[in-house]
Amino acid sequence: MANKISRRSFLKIGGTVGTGVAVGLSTSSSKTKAAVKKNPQKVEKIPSVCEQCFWRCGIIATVEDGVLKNIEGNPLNPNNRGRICARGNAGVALLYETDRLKNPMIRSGERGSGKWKEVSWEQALDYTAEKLLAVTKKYGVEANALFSHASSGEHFNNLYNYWGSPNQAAPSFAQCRGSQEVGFELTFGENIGSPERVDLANAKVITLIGSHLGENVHTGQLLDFTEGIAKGAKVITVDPRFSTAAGKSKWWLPIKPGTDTALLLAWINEIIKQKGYDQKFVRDNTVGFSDLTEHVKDFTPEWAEKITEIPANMIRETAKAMMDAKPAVVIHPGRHVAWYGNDVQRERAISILVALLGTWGQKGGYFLKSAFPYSYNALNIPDSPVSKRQRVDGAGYKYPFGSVEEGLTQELVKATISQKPYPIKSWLTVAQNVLNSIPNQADTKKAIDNLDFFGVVEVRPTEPTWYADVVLPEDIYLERYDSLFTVTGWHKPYVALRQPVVKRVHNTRPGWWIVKELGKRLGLSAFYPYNEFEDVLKYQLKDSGISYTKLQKEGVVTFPGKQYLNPGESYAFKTADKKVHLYSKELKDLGFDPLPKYEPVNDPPKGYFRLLYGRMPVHTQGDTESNPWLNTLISEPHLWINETIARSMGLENKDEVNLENQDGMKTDKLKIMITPGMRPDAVFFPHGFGGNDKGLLNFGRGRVSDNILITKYNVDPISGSTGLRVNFVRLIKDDKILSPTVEVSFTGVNAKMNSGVQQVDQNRTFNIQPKKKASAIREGC
Amino acid sequence: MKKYAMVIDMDRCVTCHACEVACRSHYDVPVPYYRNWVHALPPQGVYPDIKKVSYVGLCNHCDDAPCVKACPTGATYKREDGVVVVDKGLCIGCGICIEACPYGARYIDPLNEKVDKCDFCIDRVTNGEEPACVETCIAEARIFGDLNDPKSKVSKLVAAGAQQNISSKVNVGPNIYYLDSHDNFPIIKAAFPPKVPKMPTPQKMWTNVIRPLFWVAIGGTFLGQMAAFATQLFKGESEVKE
Repeated sequence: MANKISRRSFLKIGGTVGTGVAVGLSTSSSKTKAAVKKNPQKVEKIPSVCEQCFWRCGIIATVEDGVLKNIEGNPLNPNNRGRICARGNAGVALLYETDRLKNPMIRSGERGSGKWKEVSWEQALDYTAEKLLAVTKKYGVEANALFSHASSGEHFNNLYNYWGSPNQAAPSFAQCRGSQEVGFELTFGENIGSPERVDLANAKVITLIGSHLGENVHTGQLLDFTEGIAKGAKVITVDPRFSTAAGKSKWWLPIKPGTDTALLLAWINEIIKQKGYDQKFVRDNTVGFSDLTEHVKDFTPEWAEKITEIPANMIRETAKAMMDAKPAVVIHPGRHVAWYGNDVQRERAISILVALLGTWGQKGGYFLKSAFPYSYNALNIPDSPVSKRQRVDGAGYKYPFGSVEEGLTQELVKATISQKPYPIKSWLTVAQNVLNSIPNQADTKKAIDNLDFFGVVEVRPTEPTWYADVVLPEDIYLERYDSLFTVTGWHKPYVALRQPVVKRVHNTRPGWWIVKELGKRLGLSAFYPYNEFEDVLKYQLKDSGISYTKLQKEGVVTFPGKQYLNPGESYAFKTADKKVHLYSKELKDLGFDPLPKYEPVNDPPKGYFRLLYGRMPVHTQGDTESNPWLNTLISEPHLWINETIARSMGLENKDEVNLENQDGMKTDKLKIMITPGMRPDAVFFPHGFGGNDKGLLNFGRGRVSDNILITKYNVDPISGSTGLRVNFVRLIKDDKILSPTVEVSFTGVNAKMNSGVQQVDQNRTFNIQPKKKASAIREGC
Repeated sequence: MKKYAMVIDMDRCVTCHACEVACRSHYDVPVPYYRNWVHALPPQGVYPDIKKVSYVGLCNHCDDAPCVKACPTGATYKREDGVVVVDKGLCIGCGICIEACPYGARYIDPLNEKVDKCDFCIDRVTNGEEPACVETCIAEARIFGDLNDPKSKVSKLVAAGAQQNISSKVNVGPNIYYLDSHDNFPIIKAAFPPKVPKMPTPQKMWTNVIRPLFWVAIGGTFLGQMAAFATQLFKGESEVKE
């Protein structure tokens, strides 16, 4: 029980020990046992916006006598319609979490020694500015790099823009959505945004290809997904693993990892062959249909069967389901799509399929982005300087479609190691765990060693915090203002306000304040003509027609949007010729394939499995593992392994194994989960646990991080994003390397009849009936 | 008269655990205890017929509740609207009801040493709100209502075939129903069957109930009051330590 602390006992401790750290803010008196008694004197319901993940649901906080009692969904916010997930509910525990960073700190020992001294904000900011200015003086302003993420990242991006350093990157592009956005932009001239504009609630067929909705809990989308299913939508799930979504599906296609583009091309082939595409849409809106037809003519379901190990009849059956249901078909583009380094082309194949089925702007397909009817007042600040030197990550030139807004994290790491084309000598990371999000931890550590200055802005310690020279602890989302959330690409467009729901608990500060104070010290006062961020928000809205008071009271203002095209209405696509590019001349001109091809990826060597990873419904990457309410639900990852293979290696469900990848990187022990719902050639475990979170006091220590094993990655030449599913692992138990003694043909395709190895038809070997007393795992993945 | 019940729509549930955390938040349930739960089972079956199911559970507010019968002080009782509640003032924390519950829905809160469990958020319901777990459910998989109202959604779903977690050995009239159109519920029933209620034996009654009550009676004297006061003080301190 020592580590398990409830809010009540926390409050008692707060009341007993007192705080004494808050500067100018008394919080301890309100957090006594009396404050949570049955009849509080003052109960407030304050709306705001969640940030336990990037979905940003509307929330309403119940605050009793200054203490946060609970968080509920804001029914007025169309993004989540009154509901919030486990993480959203657990925001209460984050606020009072013992692991939070509570004071600014300056390193007092060697870098990585974990020795700190607590300092005042003045001292911390003076020190940070002094170091940043020293780097600037010696190497130029561009030598200062920023790794940012999330809402607070935005404030820091602005700071670095005002300052003049283009070297900024977020993992949300290169390690996540980048190739999806690029693929769709090449085809349609626009991406489908975040939240993705997929009309799951009205779809008749939903195809998930590498999207595990249900384990990635994006509230609004999940509400639509379950509504769609309740209304009879048939789901096709393409996944090597039997995901939660697979459990809701009519068809589970356990595809051989890395062969998705072959399946997509076969679907395109079949749909064209059967004339199952939207002929009017293709005629009126697309270019390159004849090239496409010629290109895919040999990519038959039989061709794809050998590659994907999905039986040809199943490819035909699912193609027919999509053709019959068009245009009410959602082919989800996925979100984390950084898989193999040829990901833009796979996303191009998805977007071509979407175009052929004519689902753009149609009910049950992809819905439209609405026009924003308001305009905000712009702050009266100087123009940002234009950087004299080109950014080092190659976004926009070496990688022609690499995002210049979000940058390429791994390329920024590489440049920091090589110091080319010019030195990068300081890093500031903001709400980004650079060691657990960017592949190849050794490179990231090497880059950190090269720095003159490494600063971390965080709410709780993560692996990089351990190496920081200065730690600037940020208010959590419940304690601060951020920029307005203006979302036009959702069913009902809206503007939502984040506002503090309680007084801050520790000696932390909001991101907007940190940049303003740091900006002053960097000579950028002219960019911050305000004292309070609330005044900025009020000024922005003053002439917009949106009432700030209403936002404050209700948390959100919605406006009518246009989701669907009227019958017969044409749509001006955002490409230069306003057409949908089935054939991409843009790619051809840059020397890339104008039509997507299937490129094989290496198979795992004998005795190795492909390493797959993914999400858990109760954790947001590495952000939440130390939250006691979430940690109690899933406290450690389990390794999914195919039942037949596991038994052949003598493994039992309670066993633990070490994993070792192709480069000899070895993990600590990991529990296994034996299941028939996993392909035999791959293993899976959820992302988000820290291997060596030395800074975490209570939770999450010593858990295995998948990122330790992701030493290798393939960079997509078009987008610059990192393909991470190219690592292989073998299993080690009690220092003995385990090797499967059988080969399994999962779907009956590609069974090697005369290979001399014992053949197992999984269907017959294990007739698994519900066990009398199956033990529950708190895994949920 | 109302008869409250809940239907869990297994076709909709995505095992996100939001209900569990909402409940913890609303009732300050200390980790690692819980008033409601989602137990995820690994995918099982034979390809291509694989199933992935989760057991979503809470107090069943049984018609013939063994916990009510087992409770020696009358702290656990069934309200007229069917909700089984614990009167914390009468609860002596003996834990006999915990063993009587077929569903594992009760725990002793270490902070006050009283039994705690789901009460269908009866205070919220009285105020016209939904139970916290129902309100937060992002799959709209939990439906709460009055079984005595034939027009209510729960009544309709029960009429449409929502099932109870009962067995040939144990059927105490549970009021949580499971809606399932994919033959997933048998897996739950096999993995998490209701336990045969353990009713208190005379010896247990002596050690857990009568003896403590005897001391409570002595506590009526001045000395006893002092002793109780001292115990209280001591307990208060140990709470702070935790």
